[in-house]
Amino acid sequence: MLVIFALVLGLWGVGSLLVSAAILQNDLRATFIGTKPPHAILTSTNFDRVDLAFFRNRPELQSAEFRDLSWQRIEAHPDEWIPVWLFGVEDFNNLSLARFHGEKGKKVPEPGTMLIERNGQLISDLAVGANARIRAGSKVREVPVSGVSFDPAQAPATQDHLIYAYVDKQTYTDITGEPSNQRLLLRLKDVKTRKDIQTAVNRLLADLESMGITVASVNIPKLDEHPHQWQLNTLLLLEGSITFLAFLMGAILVSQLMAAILARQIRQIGVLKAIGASRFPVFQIYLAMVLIVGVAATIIAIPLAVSSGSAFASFVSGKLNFDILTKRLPFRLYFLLVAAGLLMPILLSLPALLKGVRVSVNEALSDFGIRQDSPSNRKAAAGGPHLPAILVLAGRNTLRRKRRLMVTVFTMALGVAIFSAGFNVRQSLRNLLTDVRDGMRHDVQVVLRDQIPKDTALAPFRSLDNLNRIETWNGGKGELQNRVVSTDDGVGIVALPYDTDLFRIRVEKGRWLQGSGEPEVVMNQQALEGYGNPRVGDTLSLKVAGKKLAVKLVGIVWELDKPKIYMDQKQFDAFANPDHLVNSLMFVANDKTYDRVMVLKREIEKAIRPSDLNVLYVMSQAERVKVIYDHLNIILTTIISLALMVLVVSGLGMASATGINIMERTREIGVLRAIGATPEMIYQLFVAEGMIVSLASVLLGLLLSLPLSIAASPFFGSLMLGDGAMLRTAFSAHGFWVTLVATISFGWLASRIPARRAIRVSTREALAYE
Amino acid sequence: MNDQNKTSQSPLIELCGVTKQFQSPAGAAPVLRDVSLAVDRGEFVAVVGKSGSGKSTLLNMLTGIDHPSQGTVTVNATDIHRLSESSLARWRGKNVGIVFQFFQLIPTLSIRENLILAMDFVNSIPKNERNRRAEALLAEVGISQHADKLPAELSGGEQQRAAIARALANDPPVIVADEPTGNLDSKTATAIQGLFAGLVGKGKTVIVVTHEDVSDSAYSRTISLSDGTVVSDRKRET
Repeated sequence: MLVIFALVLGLWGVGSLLVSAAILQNDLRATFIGTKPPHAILTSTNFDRVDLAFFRNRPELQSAEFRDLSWQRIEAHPDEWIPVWLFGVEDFNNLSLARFHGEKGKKVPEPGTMLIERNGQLISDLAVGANARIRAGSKVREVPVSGVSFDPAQAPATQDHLIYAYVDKQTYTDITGEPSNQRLLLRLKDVKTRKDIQTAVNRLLADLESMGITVASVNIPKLDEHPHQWQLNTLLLLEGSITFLAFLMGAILVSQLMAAILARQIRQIGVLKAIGASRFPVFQIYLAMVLIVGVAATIIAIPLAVSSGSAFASFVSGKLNFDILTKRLPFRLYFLLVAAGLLMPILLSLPALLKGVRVSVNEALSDFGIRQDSPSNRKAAAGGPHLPAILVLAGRNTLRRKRRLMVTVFTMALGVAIFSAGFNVRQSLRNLLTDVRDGMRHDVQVVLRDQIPKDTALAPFRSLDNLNRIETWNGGKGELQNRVVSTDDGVGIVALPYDTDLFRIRVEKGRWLQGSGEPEVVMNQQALEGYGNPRVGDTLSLKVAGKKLAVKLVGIVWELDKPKIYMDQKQFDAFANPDHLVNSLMFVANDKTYDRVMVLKREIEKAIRPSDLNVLYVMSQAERVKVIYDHLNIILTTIISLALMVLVVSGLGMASATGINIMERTREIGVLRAIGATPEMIYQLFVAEGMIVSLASVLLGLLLSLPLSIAASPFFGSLMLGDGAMLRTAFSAHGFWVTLVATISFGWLASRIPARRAIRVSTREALAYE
Repeated sequence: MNDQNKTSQSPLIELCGVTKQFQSPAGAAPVLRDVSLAVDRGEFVAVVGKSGSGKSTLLNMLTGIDHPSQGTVTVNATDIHRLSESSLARWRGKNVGIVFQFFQLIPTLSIRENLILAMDFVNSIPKNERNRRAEALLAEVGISQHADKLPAELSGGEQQRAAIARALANDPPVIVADEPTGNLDSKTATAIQGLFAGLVGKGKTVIVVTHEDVSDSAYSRTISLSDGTVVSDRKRET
């Protein structure tokens, strides 16, 4: 039963992970590709000079469609405004690109109404029939929600904390005041790389330029890749690693159990041989036994694996807002699971099987009593002060099966190391969030769509309660290279007083701004990646609003944000902002407690409502940190869950090893009881042995977790946050204690259960055990 | 009559109407049938019989390793059939020393530690005396030079001597041995027999289960079992 249980457990774990990985790997991509995502997005105010037929007739283009987009604000809950991405859709009945589909209510919104993306319902009060309030510029307009759509191409609204809304062109213009047909989606034929797209787009741009059409920006998203593919990649990588480990540990577990079970059959093998069976028939008999065990485990494990794997895939798809499309798992997956279920026990028990059938009749029939250890194994302690013999016995018994002990301690230590490293990586991410929070010391930020005079910007906020001060910053979009085609929409420039106390982010390389001498900038990591990784000391050409300036890169900061360049406000004003306009207001509260800051934020919203301010967004620092945390949360949860799974599997490995040890020593238990050991003493002896193994494992595991954490933190940093992301290795004290307590508890349980079973056997039965 | 007198005058071991049967798929199989016998202090008893006659089961009754299905077992004034497993283990450690056919020494402990372990379990010998007592007992059975060796480093006869020393560790009044010479050559077997006889000379009661011929040996009493019943109970004329 124990071996079937171990096999079921191993197959179940490995199977669940394989099933979920197969579903997730296929379905996010399939769902995303099914939307026909654009290969390039062009914006221009001159597209009215050509019609769509011009694009659609070009041989390199598969399809083209206008899909305007405006960033506005929407009231998610009373007095709580969040960004809304408002899409102006050309023809709801004929979406050739970036397809979405209706799920509830109207599929085509009536004029003046809108559809919202389903994931947005989870972060707002918006539903079919609700009157959404959208603020565009200084105007608030009520727009009824006529339907709910599912747009698998978008990042989950729950993670980005924004709403996606879809309206027809006229409604788009009515709400935003912006003309339609200014944003063009293109999908090309036969492109395999980003470079192919860039080449084709360059040709198109040249043709458009010759027609007098100026393209303001070109955005080439990652080729056929969902915006949150990185999360899935991280999860799949985690799953892959854990699958491998679970398989390894399951294999060790089964191998140990098979060896122990076959060891119990030695006398029977002797009897079989004594009555004339040669090696091959004996081998066949035990092979058939192993096969029966494999078949039983496979029959039990596969439905469990399919069910739990599908449930996990469903959980992840819910988090990433895509649908599970897989109705039937690929045949090869079942084949793999069945093969693993049948072959794993055979392969793992082969060494024990071969050893068993090779044993001579005499050896097999003489297998009585307590197995004698080889004298070379250990030199007995001579004379001197003695520890209590029961402690000596526990210690020596632990070392009795050295190979098994090594395997048990190593697998348990590996589990401990992964579990502990999981906490350390989590701590690294938490530290990062703390850095983010501490780096930006304002409490609420109001970002304006336009640059306006400082006095005008500050006017609505003169009499707010709990307000210490407001600092004004400026900025805008800039280009670091004189090419229209870029990998992003340009880089955001933040112009702030170089000596501000509201921005204290750690400088990774170089130094912070000094505000004197030649124009200088500090870049964040994301900007660095997007612009060819310039080095500190390089002079770059910065273009803002048609003006160019040579700036020196003096430092690099790392933050979880979009590409940004920081520049001293005075230098920026001298270069591109002679009227000292501002577009960003940094509010500092007197009382910085969460509730009071949220009250301040609501007061700010109230002050904005009657004003003419054209607000892009209002965000508190707490919310900003939450947005980042929500992006990482699924990974953090998965890391800890999977690490816990490894610990549980390794704990089961230890339980099985203890179980085997106890089973092998049943007669010895009888002897101990015959010479006066009470059941409680036997129980304490085995628990002490389990604790020695646990302590050794936890010590080794914690030691192993240090290099593992050092390697894992930058690795996950790069995977989750982009190449070169500097996720610093951290030590989680909380994780240390959880690991310690969990491992010791596992060790205690792992020895307690078989120890309890051992003392239930009567002295007579124990002595009669063969 | 006070308890002290009762103890000194009563038999050391008394079995009254002991029946033991085991359940098997074929039904209840009686192994001992209504066995009654008494053993006094200082007796050297051989329990003989063919395989399956009930010798080992009788020994299990005397040591409390197994409980009777019917009847009572009293050893050293204790009704051991009434004791729980924990109490039995403690009682056994203090009152009965057991010697097994295959020695059954703990392989990971030295011979000295095997003896000390038995004393640790029972806790009737003061801690600071245990090591000295172990050495004395090993000297008594003639293997003091092997005190710090592992059992596997000793010959069969030496291991059996060690097992006898362990049986004496807590100074029990009764020594029970199950085929103690069954796995030894005749010369070693004779030496082990001599050791048992010496123990009887020091006031111990020794009960040996054996299938060997006991006609020329030093046993003071021979109990023969057949099909779970006592078929003869002979005391040697002294």
